[in-house]
Amino acid sequence: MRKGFTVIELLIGMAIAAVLLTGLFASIQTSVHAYERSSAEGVNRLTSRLLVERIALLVRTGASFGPLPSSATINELESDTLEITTQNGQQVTIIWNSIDETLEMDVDGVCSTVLGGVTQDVDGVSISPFLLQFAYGTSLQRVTINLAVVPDPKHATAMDGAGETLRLTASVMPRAQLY
Amino acid sequence: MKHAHTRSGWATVPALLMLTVIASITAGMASVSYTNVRSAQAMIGIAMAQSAAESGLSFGSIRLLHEVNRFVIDRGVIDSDLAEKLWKGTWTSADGNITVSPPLGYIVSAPTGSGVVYCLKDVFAQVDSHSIEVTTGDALLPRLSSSDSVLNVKPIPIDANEETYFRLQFGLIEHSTRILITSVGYHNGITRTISMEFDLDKRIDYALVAMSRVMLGRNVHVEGPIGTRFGTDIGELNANFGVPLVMHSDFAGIDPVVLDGDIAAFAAAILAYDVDGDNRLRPSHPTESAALGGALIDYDGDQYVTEMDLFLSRYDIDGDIRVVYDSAQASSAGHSGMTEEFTQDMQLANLIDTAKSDRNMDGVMDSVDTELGWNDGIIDVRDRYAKIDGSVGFAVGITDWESASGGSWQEDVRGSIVPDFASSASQFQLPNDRLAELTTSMFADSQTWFETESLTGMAFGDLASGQVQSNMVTGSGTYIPAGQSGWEGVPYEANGAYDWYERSVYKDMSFNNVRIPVGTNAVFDNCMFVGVTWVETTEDVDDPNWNFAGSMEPDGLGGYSEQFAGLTAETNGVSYASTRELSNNVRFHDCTFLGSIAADVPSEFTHWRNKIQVTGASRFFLDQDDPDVAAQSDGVVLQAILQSIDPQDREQMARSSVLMPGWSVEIGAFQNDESVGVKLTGTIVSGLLDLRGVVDVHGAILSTYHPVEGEGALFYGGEADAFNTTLGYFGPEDGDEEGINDGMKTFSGYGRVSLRANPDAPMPDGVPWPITIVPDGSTYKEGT
Repeated sequence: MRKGFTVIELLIGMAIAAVLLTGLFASIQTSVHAYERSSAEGVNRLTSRLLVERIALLVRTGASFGPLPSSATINELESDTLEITTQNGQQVTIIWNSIDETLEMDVDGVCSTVLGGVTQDVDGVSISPFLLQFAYGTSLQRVTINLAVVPDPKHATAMDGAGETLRLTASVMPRAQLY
Repeated sequence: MKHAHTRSGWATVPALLMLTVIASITAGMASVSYTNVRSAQAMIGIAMAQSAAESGLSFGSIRLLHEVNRFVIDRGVIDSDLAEKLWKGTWTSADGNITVSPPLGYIVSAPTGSGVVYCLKDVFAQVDSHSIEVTTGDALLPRLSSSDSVLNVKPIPIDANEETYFRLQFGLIEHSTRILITSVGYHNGITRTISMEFDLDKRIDYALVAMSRVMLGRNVHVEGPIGTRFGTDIGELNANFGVPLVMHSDFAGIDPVVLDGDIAAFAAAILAYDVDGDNRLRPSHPTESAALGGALIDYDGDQYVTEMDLFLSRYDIDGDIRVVYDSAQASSAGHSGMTEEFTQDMQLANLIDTAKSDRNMDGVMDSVDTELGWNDGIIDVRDRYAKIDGSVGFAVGITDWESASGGSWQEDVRGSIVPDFASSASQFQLPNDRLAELTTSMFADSQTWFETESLTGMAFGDLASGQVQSNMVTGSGTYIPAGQSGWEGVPYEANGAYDWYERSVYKDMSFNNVRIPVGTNAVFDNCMFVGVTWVETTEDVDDPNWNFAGSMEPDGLGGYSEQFAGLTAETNGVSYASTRELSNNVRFHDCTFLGSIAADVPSEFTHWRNKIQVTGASRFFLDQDDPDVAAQSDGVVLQAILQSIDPQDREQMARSSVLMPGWSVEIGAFQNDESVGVKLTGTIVSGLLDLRGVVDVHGAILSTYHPVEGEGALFYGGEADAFNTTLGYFGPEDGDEEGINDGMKTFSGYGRVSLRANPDAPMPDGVPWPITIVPDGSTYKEGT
């Protein structure tokens, strides 16, 4: 008589198991989400850094730049685009698409998206991705790159909301001006 | 016991499950963190390697510059052949005089070769002690390639742990004058490679180099450094006029009531507090700001208090921090409805407003430059006023100067000096390799081409032959014999003329590669000279009487008579009562030179006899693409003629528009008439040069005459400081006997003289000067 389980014991056991399994699945799901989110952030951070470094390289080695200010007396220009003519004549334009929240790179008319989640939103304030500083009207002295990027929202969980905004800044002088 | 064992088994299941969950979360987090850390480390590594590479490029370029600067050559232009010889040390005497100065600040005990690349190798091998060996092969460095073209040196660390370092490679680019520096930065296995080309070049960065005293008057602006070796001979420095440089304020004398008082107060403050010798005071500087306040404020907000601030605050009536001097000009520049605030000296206003014409440095003068303040009828901070936009350099020491003059050197030198970034405004005791002693004999080789070229044209001739006859036949030319033109003083229109000539006149003629015969002593009026114009003279003029024999002066009765009757001078064993017919004292009025003017070199400076004067609206052009040519009313014609000149000839002539070492060259007139002006381009070589009136020079001025008391023109007395390289107007009160003092002036103004250095202009052969490297930022490259 004492060797088996009663129905009540089985029901209690199943109930406990269900609770445990539910918790387990929830934990696994959360950890998978966290992993995915962290991975996304990591990849995003890495991609963004590489992109900023790529833009900095283009500025360092560029031959001419745009856009130019509307007047030669204006020395600073905030812009959603950055135009670079490379030493071999390639036309490269980096464009922030505010609708799709992407950064796009146009190379000699061929455009591709190079970074997503570029909201340029910092605590509710919209910032320009590029600050161009000129001397004497047309001579570019410095470009400051200022990106606000968030990881893909699909990886966000209800618990932690949207991912933290990643801020990437770099300030670069064209070497043709430096030397 | 059995019951308790059963319960313990149940608890294991959730515990294991929890452990699994925690472990998986931990593993995931660790993995992500590790990835993040690695990616961050990689980024830091990239940045470190990039920084190391850039440090290497800077270090390498400075090391290359120091070594290249040791090479002093007298050839004017470095071509690829000479560059290779300089690099490898394979030059011969056929390449001119090449000397290698000892290194400054270090000793190479065992030089391995004489070329630039060997100097580099030696300094890395024998002097630098901070290199490391990362791989076994590094022990063999520095090493030259078999062709001696490429040098690799040992790695140099930039941190104490030697984790970050750079490797440098220097290579002469084949068949060029360029050196490629490649710098590879390393950090923990990450490498970044950058490279840039540097051009081997010989250039005089000075706008003016003189062996004599230099005088820069009111309304004179210089864009570029100036230097003088005056004062190094015993007795040259004195308390009278014997100082290396006299520079007048542009603003003193305009308003004796208010502005002169402010300028005096400012001058006193400069003497007391200007610590860097630039005649400017910085409001943010603890010492220089001590006397500021009141009228001495930074009115235009450029972080300096200068005489310009005093001027602006004096004349800015409406308080908009700008002074309008030409409302029509301002209106055409887009500033309509403005009222003129300054009309006292339009030449000065125009000089300031038209300075630094290519303000955005894009190679053209256009509406953008006007937008940046150029020629807009307004004087303001955008004009970036400077009396000298560069440094001033002296061979003498500051103590020698001040002890001889009895006061501060800045009492003699007024007006703001704005040096290049990282340069000192005023530099003293410059050695010969930074401010070379110039002599007439240096240019002997450089004149060969000009003389040969001048011989390719028809003879100068006369009414019956040669180029003069050709002009008469076509009906365009007019000739007036000497007896019919009247007498004129030398210098032309000078208050203190020292000789008088009755000149023949050649009017409205064109000459092509012509030699003006010795003794012509004429006026060329509205003539055009294409190619080389060679002025002949006697070269052996060592006789101290040469300057004076045959001189004339008014006799007080309406006629002219000999000044020194009975005085004779000798050359080549023959004695002459007058040296006029054996010399050449020529005046060019309203003439156009599409080429260069050069001359035989007299052995002594004889300014009464061997002199050219360029007056009226005379012009010198050589480059058909020069925007100034296009701006001329006959620009299309000039461009066509310039285009017809053989490019190789043009390249030679570009080295010097005036190549007259040992001659007295006077450009401009004493009357300072705004309606006429002279334009010159290229290097101007003369014994002494005077620029007066309205003159614009785009090039460099090299004055070779070093006056020595008791010799040459000073044989019969006088002091060395009487012979000056003069830009602008001066009178006797400044030691210039040719002009009149300020208080007596009746002329139309002070004129305006603009001297703009052109460091890219090729140089004539002959001047021993250190070579340099010019970085080409457009060749900066990242990656291999």
